[in-house]
Amino acid sequence: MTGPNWSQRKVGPPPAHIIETEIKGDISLFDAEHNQVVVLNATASDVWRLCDGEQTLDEIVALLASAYQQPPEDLRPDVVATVTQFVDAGFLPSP
Amino acid sequence: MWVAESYFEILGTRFAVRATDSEYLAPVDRVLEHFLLDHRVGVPASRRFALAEARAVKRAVGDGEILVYRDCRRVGPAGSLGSALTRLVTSLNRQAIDEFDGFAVHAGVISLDGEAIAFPNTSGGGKSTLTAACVEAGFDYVSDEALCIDVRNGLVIPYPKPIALSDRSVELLGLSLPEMSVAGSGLESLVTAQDLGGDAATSRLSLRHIVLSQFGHDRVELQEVAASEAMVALLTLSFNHYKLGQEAFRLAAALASQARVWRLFYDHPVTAAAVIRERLGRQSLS
Repeated sequence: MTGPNWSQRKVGPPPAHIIETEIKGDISLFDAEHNQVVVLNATASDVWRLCDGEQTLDEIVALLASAYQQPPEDLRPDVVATVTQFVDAGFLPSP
Repeated sequence: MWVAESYFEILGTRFAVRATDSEYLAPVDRVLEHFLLDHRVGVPASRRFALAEARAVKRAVGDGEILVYRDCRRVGPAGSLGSALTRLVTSLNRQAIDEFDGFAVHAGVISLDGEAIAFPNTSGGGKSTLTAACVEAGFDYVSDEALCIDVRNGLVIPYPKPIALSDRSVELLGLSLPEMSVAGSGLESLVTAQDLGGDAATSRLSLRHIVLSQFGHDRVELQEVAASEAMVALLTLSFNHYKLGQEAFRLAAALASQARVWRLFYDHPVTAAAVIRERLGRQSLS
């Protein structure tokens, strides 16, 4: 997860057994294999939307930094922590 | 031995109840009148129940004690007709929900003008008492046990089983003792919507409000919360989400999206019902 080239690898997409739905702006994830539900907060929802297998971690940080108008280096630790949680929970494959 | 028999269809499952005395069956027909069929139907043994005078099958019991059977197996000890009625309805309820082919969630449910309000909660969380208080406040009765959803269209299927109230609930609501009271026995007494001066809903309903309620606070407070809270409650309090898998997830999400979601803290079911009537009653909808 924190290997040397990880920042350059595409993040996602989620495996087929992860079902996503949006309820009035909040994203909820259902793990159909383990019958578990997670409701994401607004920031985690923004990160999740970008974990579609099209962007690398660096690109996700850059996109969010632009959207939030904050320096990438300030956002990076939170983005890494959030993506790590998604991977550890099985909602995303390990990059 | 059997002198009377009635047939019921509860949440799509048919049941037969027979009795050694027609007087035993009359209160069953009364509390389950919304499910009563007017014709004989074929019913497998696992869905046949019976009320029998205990003396006819066992000697060491008091006069007038009744036994409940399901498929020739006793359901609990001999007791009064009121306790037999409670045991019978409890067993029917359990089996009907178990065999229900829709999405069912532990919840009290009321309605007004075709729109349902659900109170998802655990057993013992006060949903029957709050539901009964709301019926007394003028809402129609839908269920004190289960929010039953047709998975094909997301509509609420009314399940107006008799409301099961503990002695404490009867006291809180200030009710006179129900006709078949089992006060002091540890069982719950059964009352109908009519007993509370209300009506039972019979048509399918759209779910308009989901109220996550918490009894035991020192005030009444109703505040709107995120819809995702309702989705999690619907799934965690579901009787049968494991049967439906991701369909249950999508359904819970759709129900939470279409409804307004509230958290209710309350100190007394009657005052809570008044607040629900004032804030969520039809005239308050827009």
